Amino acid sequence: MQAVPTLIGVIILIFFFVRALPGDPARLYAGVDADAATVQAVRVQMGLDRSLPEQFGYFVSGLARGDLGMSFRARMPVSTLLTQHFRATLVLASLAITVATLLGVLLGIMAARKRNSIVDLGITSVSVLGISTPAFFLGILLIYLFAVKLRVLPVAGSVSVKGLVLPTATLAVASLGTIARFARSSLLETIGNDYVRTATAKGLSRARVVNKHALRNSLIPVITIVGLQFGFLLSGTVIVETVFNYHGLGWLLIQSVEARDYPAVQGLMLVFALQFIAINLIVDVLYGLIDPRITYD
Amino acid sequence: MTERVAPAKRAKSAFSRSTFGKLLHHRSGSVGLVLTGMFVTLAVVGPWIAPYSPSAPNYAHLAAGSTAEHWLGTDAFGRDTLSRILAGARYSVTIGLAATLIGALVGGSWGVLAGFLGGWFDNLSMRLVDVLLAFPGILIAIGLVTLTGPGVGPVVFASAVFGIPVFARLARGSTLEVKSRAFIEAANALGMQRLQVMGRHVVPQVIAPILVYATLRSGSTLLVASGLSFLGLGVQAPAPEWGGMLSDAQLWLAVQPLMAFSPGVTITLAVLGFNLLGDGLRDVLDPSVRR
Repeated sequence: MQAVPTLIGVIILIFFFVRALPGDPARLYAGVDADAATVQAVRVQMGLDRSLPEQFGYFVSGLARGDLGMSFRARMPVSTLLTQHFRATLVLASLAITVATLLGVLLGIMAARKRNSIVDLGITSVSVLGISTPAFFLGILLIYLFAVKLRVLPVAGSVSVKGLVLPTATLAVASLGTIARFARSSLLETIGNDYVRTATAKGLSRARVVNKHALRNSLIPVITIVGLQFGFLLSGTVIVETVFNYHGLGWLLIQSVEARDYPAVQGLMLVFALQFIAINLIVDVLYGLIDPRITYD
Repeated sequence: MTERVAPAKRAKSAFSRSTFGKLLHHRSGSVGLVLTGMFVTLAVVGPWIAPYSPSAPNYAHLAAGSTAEHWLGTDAFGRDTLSRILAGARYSVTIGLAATLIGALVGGSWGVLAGFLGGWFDNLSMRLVDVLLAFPGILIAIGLVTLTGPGVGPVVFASAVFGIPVFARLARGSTLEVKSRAFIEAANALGMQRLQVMGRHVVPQVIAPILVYATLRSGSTLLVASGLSFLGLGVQAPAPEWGGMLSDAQLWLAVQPLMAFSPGVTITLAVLGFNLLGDGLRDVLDPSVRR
């Protein structure tokens, strides 16, 4: 259970994030025109006049109640802001990781089966190209092709079937490449094992050897990569949502950073980290379920 | 002093000579070597060979397509795109490489220390690494530029920190492996100082895997750095940074797509070069890993 100390560390880091800011948060919230008395009132209201340990106590008890402070920009609780934008990102990221995993594993298997063939070379090259293409360029390329030239899909993304196609494709490509490469090497490694050779030696067809014996075992480590990729995909939403003006958490993060809306940035960083920790936890549990040799104490 | 430097130097040149030859015979590795070499050269000579000034506007040719004078067209201010890409190599490539090297150096030293010293320092360090890794990809860099504000220095800093936890974990792993080998035991038995053992025997062994990984990592660091500039949080206009150029061109996509395609293809090729070179290096140095 590595998640608990990591979680505590993340909370401490995020607490100090706002304290490390240049300038006075109370003055920022009150506005540049506010007089000294107003700034002082805000400071007391925000609890900034107390000692650091006391402030940390307030911060943690606030977190426990789901209180992340007030957004400077939107003038509403950060928690409300987060819930408003959470669904859009969840839909986008889940779709993208599903597409990336299914297609990635499929391509990886195809490449491994036809090792060193033209198919393998093609899939491997496209995977590396996918990993190397910046999401912001791919997004713009897809917008140009499908929205400007062909006019079949909208420029801006939204939570609708048509509005999700381009952002999902953009977000999925990099992870797809990584998953395909990993699935390929994992399957090749498994095929090299003794028990696979035994299966071949007892006269089974190649297809049967791969499907029945090698495939299942080779997919176990792929789960780890998918979990990791989900984290990078979440961070990728920042760029993709900005390119497509898709109003999810990533888009909100950039808006908040530009407005120097520190409470919102703080809340968003926390939510992103929590999601990543939760995913890793789920991967660990899945791993144990699929491979009974692994136990956690 | 000479005694200490000489064996390390010899080992290093043998390492690079044979590696270089093998790389040239590695299909994707050689492509990566050529691309990387080209971009690193551009980072040095780019601003000198640019046919026009990267910042001089030309209101007679606004958002032009490819012509004999402007091979890659011009941008919204009539500035020559090819010149901006050439001059911009000094920003984009240098930032990517500098950030990777700083990340490798700081993270690598941290990891070696943690692995070598062990105990509470190692425990605390690895917990901290876990915490930093909980902010995946570009997120940690965005968090940092929120504190520092935009600019070249902050982008280098933020992109370097993006690499530190990964390098620390890698260096720690390699250090633990080296530490368990017999020659370290022998050095300890001979009564060498702990720091001497670390400097003379552990560090030289750990450098190779870190260098390979740094090559592989340069690509993603470049992506993060240019991503920050694309988001408006990194290098600011009018500097010809590739990510920033792409961001400016987005508004003109329907009018002049070449304005966006040129920097986009350039970044992709640069990242591709580092990724292929990294893959090639890994294959050549460690043939047991098939990826």
